[in-house]
Amino acid sequence: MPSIKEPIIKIQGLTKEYYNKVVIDNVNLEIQDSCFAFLGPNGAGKTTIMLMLLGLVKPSNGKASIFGTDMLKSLGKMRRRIGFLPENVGFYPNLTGRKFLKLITGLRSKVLKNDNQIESYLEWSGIKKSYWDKAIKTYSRGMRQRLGLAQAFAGKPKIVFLDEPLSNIDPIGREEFIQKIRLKREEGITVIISSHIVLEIEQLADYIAFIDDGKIKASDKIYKLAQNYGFDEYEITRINNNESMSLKELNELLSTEKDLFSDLPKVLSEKIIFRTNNPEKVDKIILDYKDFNYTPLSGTLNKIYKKVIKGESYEQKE
Amino acid sequence: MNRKNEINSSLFYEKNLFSFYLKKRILSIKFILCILFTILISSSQSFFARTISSQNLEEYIFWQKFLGAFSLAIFPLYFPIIITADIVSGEFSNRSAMIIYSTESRTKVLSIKLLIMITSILILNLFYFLPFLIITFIRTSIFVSIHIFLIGFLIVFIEFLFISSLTFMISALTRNTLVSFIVPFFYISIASFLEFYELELLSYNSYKIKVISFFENFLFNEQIIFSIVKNISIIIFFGLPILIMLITFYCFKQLDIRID
Repeated sequence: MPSIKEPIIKIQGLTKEYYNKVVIDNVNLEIQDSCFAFLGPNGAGKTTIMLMLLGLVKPSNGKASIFGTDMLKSLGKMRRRIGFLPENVGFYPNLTGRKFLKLITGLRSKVLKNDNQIESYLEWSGIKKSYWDKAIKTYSRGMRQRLGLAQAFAGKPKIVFLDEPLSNIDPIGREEFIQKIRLKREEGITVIISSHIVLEIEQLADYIAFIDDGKIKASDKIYKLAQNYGFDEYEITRINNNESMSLKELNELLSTEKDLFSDLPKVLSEKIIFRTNNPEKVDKIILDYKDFNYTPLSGTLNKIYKKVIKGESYEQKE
Repeated sequence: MNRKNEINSSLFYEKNLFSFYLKKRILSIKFILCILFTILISSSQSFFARTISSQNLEEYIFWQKFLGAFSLAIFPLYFPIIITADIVSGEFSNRSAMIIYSTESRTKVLSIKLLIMITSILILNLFYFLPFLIITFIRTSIFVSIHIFLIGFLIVFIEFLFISSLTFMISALTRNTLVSFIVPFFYISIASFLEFYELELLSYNSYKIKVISFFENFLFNEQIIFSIVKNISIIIFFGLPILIMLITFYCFKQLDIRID
């Protein structure tokens, strides 16, 4: 992602106190058009930052803006460009899934949504068709979470905030949604995720902010974080099944840049793995191939997470 | 149908939310039950001797008996509480608030809810007065004069509005339906005790009685009697609901909208 662009979200000195206890401590961040994740343990302050960005929680100090607008002062126009899935999402229990999505899309877009469009959101959510016209109170927790995800992306928002998006969803459903969210990202939607589940974030995020005790401990592009914490193994996986270029072909292309790699890239069944000391250059090459995802080797983020949250300071190597 | 219909109304989103909330409230069982009980109470006040003059109907039957019964009975005042108690807090108990308040500004959502509350109270009030008017007309072929009817309607509406706005405020600020039901209920129930123990200043009912007597003199004796007490009573009677709403809006803007 080009870093010269004006940040979509700007957070300056954001602080929140509850009963004289500082829960968010002077957070400064700039978020570009990307999939950005807040990663940290329970109670670290991830949700509070998100709610302050959305203008639902008032900061004690500092300010946060989306597209240059302070959400606390935003009357509606900006809000309609934003989707939000709260943690433990709730609905009107007597409304059907279809009617709820109709309500939300009606609040986000002036373009009247016909039944086909609403059904496409329901289909995207993976909720069984037989439940579309049943009251939400009959839905299981997983189905509610799916409906929550569908409403967050309904009405074509520009930014979507997802708080613990894949909780309550079964493992197969999780994999499906990781793919689906990635595809939404490809459509140009900026996705901001808060989670304490490293595996989800590893597969989804371009940028990560580690947060603990209300403070940002480290924040950067995922491959840069890996580099700065001494990891040099990376992998490339396919995001979608467009057969535009095979992994083998991509590997051949990468192999021409011999100076980039400590070990030549290897093609495994579903990914290419390699070692490099210049992950940024690899990123620039991969950027042109939208069907592929480039991340540190699976499990690396977990190691970084432990290092960061245990308190090792973040030092940029550059 | 691939054609996209762009709606150019400037209040498109507001109308959407308003119609959603209005349908939800008006079609609720509690609202329908409140209306039915209101009709029942109103009808029970509408039976009297068939042979009656127009003046008697207006002064004794409508003003003194019908409105008098309303100012003595606390039962009808429970209905606005029942209708309003969960108007804001309900969305916090079912957790839908987080999605709605992130999609629309809280001031707008609260304004729409306030409009819904006023509309519901207006409907409730209509159903309080209409059975009386219809039954008296069927029985006597006489209608209450429009100006007398409107003033009576206004007084009852303002009292309903006061109770509703108090409930609305508690519902918005505590975000707890039980509290927003109990506190106004308790306040209404102790009104007569407040008057009995000479704490009239704290009782909205005492202001209402002064307003009723002011209008009674004006309508039936053609006298306008102003005194400091009457003036203050009129100001408090009409102004308090507005003040409560302003406080609600101000305080709600300061709140954190968060459900953990």
